[in-house]
Amino acid sequence: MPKYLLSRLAQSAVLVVIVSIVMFALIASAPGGPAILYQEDVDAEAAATMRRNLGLDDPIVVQYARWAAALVQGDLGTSLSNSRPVAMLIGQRFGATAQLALASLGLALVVAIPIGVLSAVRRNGWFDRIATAGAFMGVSIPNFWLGIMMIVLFSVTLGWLPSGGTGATGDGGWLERLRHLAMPAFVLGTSTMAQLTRYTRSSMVTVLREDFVRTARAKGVPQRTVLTRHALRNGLIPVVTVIGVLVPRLFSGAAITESIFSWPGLGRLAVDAALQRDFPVIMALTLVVSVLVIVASFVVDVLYAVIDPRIRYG
Amino acid sequence: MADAVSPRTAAEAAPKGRALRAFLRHRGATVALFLLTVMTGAALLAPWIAPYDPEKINILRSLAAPSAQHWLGTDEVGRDVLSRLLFGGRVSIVVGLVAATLSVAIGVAIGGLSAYFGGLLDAVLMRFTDGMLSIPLFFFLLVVMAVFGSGLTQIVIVIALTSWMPVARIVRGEVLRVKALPYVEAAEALGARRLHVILRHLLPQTVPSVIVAATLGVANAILLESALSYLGLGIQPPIPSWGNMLQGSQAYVWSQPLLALWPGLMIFVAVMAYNALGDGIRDALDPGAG
Repeated sequence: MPKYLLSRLAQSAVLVVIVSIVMFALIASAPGGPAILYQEDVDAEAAATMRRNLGLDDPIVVQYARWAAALVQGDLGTSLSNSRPVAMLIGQRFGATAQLALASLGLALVVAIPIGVLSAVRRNGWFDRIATAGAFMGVSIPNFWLGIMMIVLFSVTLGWLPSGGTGATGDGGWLERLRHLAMPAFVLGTSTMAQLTRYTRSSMVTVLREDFVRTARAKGVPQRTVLTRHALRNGLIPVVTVIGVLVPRLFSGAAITESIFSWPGLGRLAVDAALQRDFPVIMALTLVVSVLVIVASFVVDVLYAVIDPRIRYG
Repeated sequence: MADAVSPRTAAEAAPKGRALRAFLRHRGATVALFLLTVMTGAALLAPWIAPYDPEKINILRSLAAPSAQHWLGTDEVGRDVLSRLLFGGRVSIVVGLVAATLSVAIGVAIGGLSAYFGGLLDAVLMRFTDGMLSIPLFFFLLVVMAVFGSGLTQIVIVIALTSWMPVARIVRGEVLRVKALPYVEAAEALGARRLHVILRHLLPQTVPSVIVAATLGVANAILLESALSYLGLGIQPPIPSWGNMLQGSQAYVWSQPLLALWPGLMIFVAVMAYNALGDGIRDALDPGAG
């Protein structure tokens, strides 16, 4: 592997360790401790016993060392709220988030790239103006509001789509699941779609001004071929990098989208754990999501070199 | 003052006038400025113009449809929606403006130091910035809000601490560009102190792009605050904020769907207006772009 990629990998590993230390320090310094200590049937003495048993009275460094040691052995800890292994909780919900994230990313790409290209080709025309206004609204709209408004329109008023859940428990099969996926995927994908449209447009505008495009046109190459063979190949390269930047935001958006549509994924798990102050779950989720994001941006970097032969790492 | 217009002030006025005209030609930005003035004014005057106490509960009148007494109806415990919207605007505006100002201050400090001193400090600060950009910060926000409680102060600080990175990058780029210009070299050759060079010669050059970043930052902060409040980790009821009003309304979409319309619409308009304002200022200050 080229030296540049190796050093990036090392940097990422350091980053994950730093993130975990910061998160742990934050959590350990929390006044009060986990919510489970404040349940009605837990008196002061019982709470003290629980604190001792959970090791919450030990110094932070000891707690971190214990957590890291367990982690290295593949143990992510146990949820304080429901006493289940955190790894199991994450494993159960990972699929739902992956499905949602991939669907929304796919939707965003399928919508954004053609719109961005057409906008660039017909720059300042009526299509471009509408697309620009749409993209502008797409980055400004709060996705939780968009979600609720879509529920009002498609579930409450029209009754076309279900307002929540995945449809996996019903007997409707893949069509039923698709109906459940439609609104969450769209809501999660909106801002990605809007930003990708803008990037595709500006990147294509730049490429269409290049000499080789002019030359191709001068040679009499048909517009269609100029676009697909010459412009698109070069214009989409920067778009790939942007996808790497957008992946972390996809996870942030998942926390909100999953809450609106009661989608049983990692985002909803994180929000619940935060509300419950269920620290082992939060720690594990932060770590898992950070690693996923870092891996995703690493893959994008490698892809970047693969699709653009001018770029060589190392 | 008015009787003696020196050539100097006239010369200074010209580019400013040009920027102002360019800004006013930007229709979207002008509309945005108008909307923001109205919204900010309404929020500031909320205690005087709100028809009801925003936290006054009246179970007998819960979920009332819009009427002459309650223009936008009442919520699930009979509170006046219009009054809550007006007071909720105060939260969004305060969080937006203060958090954006703080994050700009952090970004300017980190970007400026990084570019001016370069070397190891630059490398460390920029790796740190890249690192912050590559982690899913919303999870971090969730944790901090869960750990330190969810008051106005916490929200402002946390948003500022997680959104300074773009500003730092912009300032670093600008300072690096300006640092290489002859007049900075001249100032240093004349024996100007470092702090003097930074404050008088370098940072003023970054002001246009920082203003643009700050305006977009306000939009971002308003979105983050309302998202946290919507999830129940931000401003806590009964204090109204547009985010927690939306959360409250979601349970009643089947019976009173209008309840969810207003608070979200306010967030949408405020965020869009700040984004448009940022675009307008950018175009006005930099005629070559776009």
